[in-house]
Amino acid sequence: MSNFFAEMMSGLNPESQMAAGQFFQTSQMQRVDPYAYLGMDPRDNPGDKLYADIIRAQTADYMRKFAPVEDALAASITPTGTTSLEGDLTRTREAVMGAGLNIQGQQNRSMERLGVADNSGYSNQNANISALVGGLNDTRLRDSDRRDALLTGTTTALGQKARSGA
Amino acid sequence: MCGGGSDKGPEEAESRLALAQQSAIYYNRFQDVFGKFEDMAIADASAQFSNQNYESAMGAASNAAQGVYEQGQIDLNRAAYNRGFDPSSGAVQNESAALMAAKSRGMGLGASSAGIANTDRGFQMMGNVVNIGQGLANESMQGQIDVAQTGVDRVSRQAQQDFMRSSSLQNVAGTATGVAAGYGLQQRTV
Repeated sequence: MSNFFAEMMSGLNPESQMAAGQFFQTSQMQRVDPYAYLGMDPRDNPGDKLYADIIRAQTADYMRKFAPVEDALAASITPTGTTSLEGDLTRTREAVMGAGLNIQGQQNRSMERLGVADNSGYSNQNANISALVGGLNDTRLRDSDRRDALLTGTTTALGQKARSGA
Repeated sequence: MCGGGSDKGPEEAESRLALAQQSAIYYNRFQDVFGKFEDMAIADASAQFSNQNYESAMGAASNAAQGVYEQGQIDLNRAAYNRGFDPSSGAVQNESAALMAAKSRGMGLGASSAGIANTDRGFQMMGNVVNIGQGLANESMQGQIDVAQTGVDRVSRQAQQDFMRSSSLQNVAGTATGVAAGYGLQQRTV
């Protein structure tokens, strides 16, 4: 079984290996023995004790699996947006400028095939900068929207639940 | 000293232990059957932010945008040459450059938007995991397909506008209606 697991893991790319490793590691869940208090004196409240075990197991499961995700989500909120903004801005810059270079190359090749000089460089540059500015503004707006969604969505539900003590 | 009762309270009803045992069995079964899916959802949410996911989403969006503009360009060139336009003329060069710029914008912003949507999706998945943890899983699972389709629809509309705006292209190919129909912009679905 372990050989099969090792073989399967070795066939995966590094990212999938990490995800699969996490998956199998986190699957080590805590079980509750339903018969732990069988035969106990009914005046010692074996039913209550077993209920308490279940509640403890549920809480441990929640703390192990979900609390870290809640922490990460809350930590991602900044005063103006989320911590993902920088990454999104970088990707937007790369996408717009990369597309500009790509298209400039296509245009050059197309003109060369016709034996015509390509004079579109300057106007293309302007168009690229204009698209880049629009793209960066859009990226910031969407990050701000994302923050609002987090504040009024998931985290609000958590707050309500925490306040109600459920 | 009569009575001599113990410190223990009254006897617990037998059914209480039975109910607790039933709950314990349900809990174990839930962990056996569904616990791994919870783990999977958590792993998926963290993997959503991987470079591989961003590259895949942005690459697909850029290709889709390129495809939308491509057919229009082919039709434009064919129409211009069929009508004997000189490719070195200012009119053809300007139109060609303008459409290339529009294509560049469509590809760049389309890819950027797909990257942002990937981030949004990651946050949504994290929110779903939190909801699962809080027992609010009702709205947890939503497909990505409609999100991706919205992006392609948007770039298609933008491409149509770019081609429609080009008045001299309309003259090359005929009427405005002819332009819209003749260019036959690729309507993609994902």
